[in-house]
Amino acid sequence: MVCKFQLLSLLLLGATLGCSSADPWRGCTLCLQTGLVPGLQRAADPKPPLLAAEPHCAPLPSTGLPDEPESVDDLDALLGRGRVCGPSGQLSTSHPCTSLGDHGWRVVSGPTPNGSRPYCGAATPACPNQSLTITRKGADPLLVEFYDDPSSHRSALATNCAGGRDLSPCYYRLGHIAIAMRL
Amino acid sequence: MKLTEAQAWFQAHGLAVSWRQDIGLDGKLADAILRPPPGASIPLDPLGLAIVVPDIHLAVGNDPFRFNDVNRARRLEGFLRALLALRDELGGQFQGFDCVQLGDFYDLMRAPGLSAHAKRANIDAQYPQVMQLCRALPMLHCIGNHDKDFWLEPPPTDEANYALARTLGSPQLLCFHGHDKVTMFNIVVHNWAETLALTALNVINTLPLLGEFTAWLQATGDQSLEDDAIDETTSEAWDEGVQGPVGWTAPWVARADAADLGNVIRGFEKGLGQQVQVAFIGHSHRPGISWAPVATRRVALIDVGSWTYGRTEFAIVATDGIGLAHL
Repeated sequence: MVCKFQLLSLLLLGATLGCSSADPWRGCTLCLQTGLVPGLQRAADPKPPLLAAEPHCAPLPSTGLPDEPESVDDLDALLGRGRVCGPSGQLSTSHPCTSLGDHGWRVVSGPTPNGSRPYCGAATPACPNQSLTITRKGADPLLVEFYDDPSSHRSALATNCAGGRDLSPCYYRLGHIAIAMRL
Repeated sequence: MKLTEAQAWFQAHGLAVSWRQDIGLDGKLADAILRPPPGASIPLDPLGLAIVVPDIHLAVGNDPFRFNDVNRARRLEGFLRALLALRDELGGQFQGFDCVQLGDFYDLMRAPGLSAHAKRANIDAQYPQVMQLCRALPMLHCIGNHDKDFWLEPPPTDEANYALARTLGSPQLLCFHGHDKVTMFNIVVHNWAETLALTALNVINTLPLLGEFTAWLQATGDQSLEDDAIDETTSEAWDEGVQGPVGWTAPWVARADAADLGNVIRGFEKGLGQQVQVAFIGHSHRPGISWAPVATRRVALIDVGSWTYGRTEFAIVATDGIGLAHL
């Protein structure tokens, strides 16, 4: 009986070696709700973000965690190009999301400054809004606009690293998402 | 209890405890002890002391813990008996005590059985005294990648208490296995093909002759023929001028995956609704005190090491500091 079971196990082993597991979702999520500013749920976030009615331009009163920016902004997180100062004294790449390409998405255009009025007021030293268009096979393109939140610009601590002073001070948040829906 | 008092307590009870040595910012070897900013303390309340135990990897056959030396089980039993005595002594002084284990206590990838329960029973049968002492403490486990089956099939909590992550005293001290976000995901969503293949392989390993050969193949394939961290006991060099979290001191070591671990810690912070000050991890078997970028802060990141291949590493968490120790 034991030998039969072990033989079966050997056959099972041979049968499974060529298998690949299904690719379950493990990336970030764009959260949308009509009338609210969109938000990005990062891969490690336990729940979707609380969507706000207005763009984030100043620290908010908080009941739990302090209202502090992430180490990598939404634009760099989505594009997988976020850089942070790591404990080697060098800049490290941080991956709050998996690569867009892992889920079949590709960048069609951008990110490029789009010349629209900064969300956080023309008087603030905000970086220009950025437009990004992404798409994947069988899906209509997503037109994503990011705005700079001057209240979340990188602190001196975040740039105290070899090469850290070259990091952009901008902190881009999701501002607007449109779908070019072909009917 | 202070760190030096805890070290003296172990020595008075027949266990010589030494601090790990790492290279400090001045380029000289120093005790691997994390100290809080002046005037602050480790937020351990309501506990008086805590012990953090890293990966142990108890297995059957291809067993990285025992690794051909049965005396290693006796040594672990002696350590656990000492922790029981320490718990009772602190309790007599109305001080709390916790012992948290960081995951991979069981190595279910290296044990025969058709279920997590069966694999655990096979390992328990090999280490009955260890299991009895762990239950008596009780040792509080995190789920590691080698015992990830306990996410879907947890043991009864009176036998072994498992959680994905734990806090020590306050939520500002976080313990988890040390997965990046991908391996953390694999705990929740099982790779059934891998589980099935390992189950079959571990059954084959029990066969005479053929089993010895396949066990050797497994050990070669998973690089468990030797401890690949044994020659890497010193820290990597730092670039001049890089400090740790503001005000905290330690002989900081570099860590390549700290940025992604920072994302995981940030996810736990959002779940806890509170900032973390110190995170304890295992998984890599490479002990050292480092830090991870979390939001706009630096969070101290303590890799406690392992008990594989004869190593005996653990962390002592006291109000005046956190020390990386070994027997």
